[in-house]
Amino acid sequence: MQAVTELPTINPMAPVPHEVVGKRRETYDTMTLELAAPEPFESRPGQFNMLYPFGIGECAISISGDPSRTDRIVHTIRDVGAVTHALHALDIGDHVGVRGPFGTPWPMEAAEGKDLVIVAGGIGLAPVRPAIYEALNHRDRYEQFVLLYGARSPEDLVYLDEIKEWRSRFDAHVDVSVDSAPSGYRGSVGVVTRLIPSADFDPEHAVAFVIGPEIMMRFSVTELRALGMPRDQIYISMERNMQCAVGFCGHCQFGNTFVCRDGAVFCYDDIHSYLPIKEV
Amino acid sequence: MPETPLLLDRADLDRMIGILSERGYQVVGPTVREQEHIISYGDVGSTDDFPVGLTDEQEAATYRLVDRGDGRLFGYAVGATSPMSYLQPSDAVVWAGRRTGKGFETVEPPDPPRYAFVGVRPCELAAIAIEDEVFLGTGSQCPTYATLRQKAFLVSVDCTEPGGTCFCASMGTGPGATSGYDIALIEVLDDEGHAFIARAGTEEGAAVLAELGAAPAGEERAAAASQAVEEAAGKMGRSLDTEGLRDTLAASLSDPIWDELAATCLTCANCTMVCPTCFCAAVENRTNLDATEAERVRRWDSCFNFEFSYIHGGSLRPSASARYRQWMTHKLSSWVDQFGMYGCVGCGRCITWCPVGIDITANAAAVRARMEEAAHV
Amino acid sequence: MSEKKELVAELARHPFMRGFAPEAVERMAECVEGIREWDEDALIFRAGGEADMCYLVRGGEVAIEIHSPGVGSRIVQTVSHGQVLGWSWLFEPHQWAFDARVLTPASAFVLRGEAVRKCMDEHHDLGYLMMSRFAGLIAARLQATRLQLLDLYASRD
Ligand SMILES: Cc1cc2nc3c(=O)[nH]c(=O)nc-3n(C[C@H](O)[C@H](O)[C@H](O)COP(=O)(O)OP(=O)(O)OC[C@H]3O[C@@H](n4cnc5c(N)ncnc54)[C@H](O)[C@@H]3O)c2cc1C
Ligand code: SF4
Ligand code: SF4
Repeated sequence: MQAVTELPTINPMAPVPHEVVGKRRETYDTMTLELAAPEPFESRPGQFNMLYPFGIGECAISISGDPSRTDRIVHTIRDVGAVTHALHALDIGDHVGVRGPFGTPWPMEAAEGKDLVIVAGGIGLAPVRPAIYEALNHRDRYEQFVLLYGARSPEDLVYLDEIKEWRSRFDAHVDVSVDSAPSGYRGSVGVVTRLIPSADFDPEHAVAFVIGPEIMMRFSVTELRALGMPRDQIYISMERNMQCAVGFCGHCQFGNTFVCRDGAVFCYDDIHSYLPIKEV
Repeated sequence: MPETPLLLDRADLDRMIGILSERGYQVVGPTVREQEHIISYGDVGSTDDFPVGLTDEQEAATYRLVDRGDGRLFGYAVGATSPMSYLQPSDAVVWAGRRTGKGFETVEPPDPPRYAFVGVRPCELAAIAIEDEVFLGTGSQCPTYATLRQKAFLVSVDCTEPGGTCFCASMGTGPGATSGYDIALIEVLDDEGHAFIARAGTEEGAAVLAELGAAPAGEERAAAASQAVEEAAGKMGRSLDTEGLRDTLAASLSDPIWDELAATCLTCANCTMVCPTCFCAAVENRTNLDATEAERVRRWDSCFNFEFSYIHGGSLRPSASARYRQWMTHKLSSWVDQFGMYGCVGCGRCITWCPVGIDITANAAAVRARMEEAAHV
Repeated sequence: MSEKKELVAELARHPFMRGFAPEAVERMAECVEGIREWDEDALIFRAGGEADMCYLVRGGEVAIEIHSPGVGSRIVQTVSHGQVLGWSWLFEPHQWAFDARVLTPASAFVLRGEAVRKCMDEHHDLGYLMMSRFAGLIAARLQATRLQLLDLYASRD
């Protein structure tokens, strides 16, 4: 049988070397890398790349830069293991392998003409930052813009300068909360979900992007739902073990989905039934 | 393709193996792996390399080769391995590279071998069709698989004596081959002797048959052979009711029945290693000692492995029950959503090779019974 | 408008009073000792102190701090406009469990705890409403505490 008449011309498993042109420390364990794009790099907010420090291993890292800048690829990486550690160790001028972009984007269109509510926890602010850029670059497309960001402690907050800038805008409601803080901290303390009921948006005419650790997303969704936000106006970003990003390795399966291609951004309505099930 | 069935004898088959080698194929097929005394795919130089006169007794957690007392070449069901070991081999290099200063470059892979499989079962053809969908279907396409697959030549042999754990009839994948072959054979052993009824499925298959100069099979003999294949559908050792199965399993995820079904599972991963459709693989990055050359390989992995679902901090499926549920619901439910077909061809291997005899057909029936019961209370 | 009427009107606008009938708000207003303002860093109450007042925050931000030897003081929650600062005044032994420190200049209605309790005893409808408000607050606080315990963002090792 000759089912295969034409061979694929690109190898989706082949990393393409990209030069590191910028490096910036965000917190004690998190760093932002800027790569030069050899050709214009088109991506949509919420998509991710597979990054490969030569010879060491590969991991999924979301694109955290402004999608309108196609000459740079920006990634914010938390050092948690072998590969992310090697990514932290890269110097300016070094090359890192890139495959991508992969995955579903945050549905910016779905939020047009509505309030856009972003709830981010921890390093989750990185994968949603492109959506923030896009929304603020085209602020007139949305009604209210609400960003609620939570982290474990003040030391864990990323992008502080930018948050300050966003906060100072009269057309953006930005609230930051940490789980606990040393005495003397001037910001708001409490879990991020607590910010939801007091934020200024109309739950029935809003679209929410929620990203962070799974439990945080579940509780955030519970708050949004309690305010009357319909399930199909909530989007969440899932994380699963990911090794190929193109549906060949099977690791990222979550229910009947492949997180790499059906996600990482999902409409809550499509996957809500899986979330309460243990060990899906 | 001309559908006139041709008649081959064992000597023709030997010549066919020769022709295929001459055409540049490495010929592989069922052989006896002496050490373990099991049937497994291996190199075939002549028909003597097939498990001549042997059959396999297969039951849950049971596999034994016994003499048939005749000269059949294909008188058994399926061995422990399938063509997948060649078309999607473990340790396949999917990319290779070399360091260059601060960067690196891609190293082109060597030409992959061309395999001719002789003695492929219809369920195995169906499994290949499934892998085609996984690696070449709607999503990304895998050139490593595509290259091996494009060059493969497939000679199938229909089943007339299904094994004790077979249920291809339930899955609609056998016992006769309907597509996906270059040449399809039916082995016959009747009053007129030992022969093979052959049909070509492709131009190349027809060319090979033409080169053999085979004569047409007598109409009656060909019809009798087809009849025997049809009757084999009624002799399956197992059966699986697929009616509404996708939905039934999809609705069962939070049911405690999974704890019961997986109570004895050792998470040894045998079932996934023998399955001809299980494609999950770990992507491993290796280097030479001074880290100047690197290889990316795809090594068979299993959803039964603890690390399979690892994300930083721990495994997401620590329990055997969750891993068993993942495997079975993937095969018989989520696969349908992902690829538009079941991920099981009914070859029975997972039942045979499970050391504790866990049976996918029995368990699918058990889940169905439980869900029906639940619907009535 | 008389001073009293003004106070009632203002109290009625506080989010905590949403859903209270006008006469219930009036009764609560009877318990108000006054509106107080604090500067940054002021200590409104201290752990172990007598919880004799109920505070409905009108503006600014107040940190709930807990001090643990060796760890130092940590802020576990902040309270701002529209929220209630503590409920120890409602339950025996009427003793504050945390410090309340002002982060940004704050103001609050200060209600006499004992008076509010008496009012709740005498008017069970009002008492029920107050109790269900506080039960909601305590439940939300409990859930938040659980989330903090789970250490949502932490690595799981
Ligand atoms: C779609 C997606 C987007 C992501 N975006 C970011 C990001 O923007 N910034 C960031 O810091 N991290 C991100 N992560 C998480 C990041 O991929 C993991 O932290 C990383 O894989 C850990 O690899 P390691 O080798 O350093 O750690 P180890 O713990 O040594 O992991 C070993 C291997 O396990 C797998 N693995 C471990 N943790 C994860 C995980 N959380 N998700 C998927 N696979 C995992 C990988 O195959 C990894 O190579 C993202 C994950 C996904 C799935
Ligand atoms: S699941 Fe079992 S019966 Fe089905 S194809 Fe795989 S090994 Fe064969
Ligand atoms: S079902 Fe059987 S073969 Fe599969 S992992 Fe469990 S014990 Fe092993």
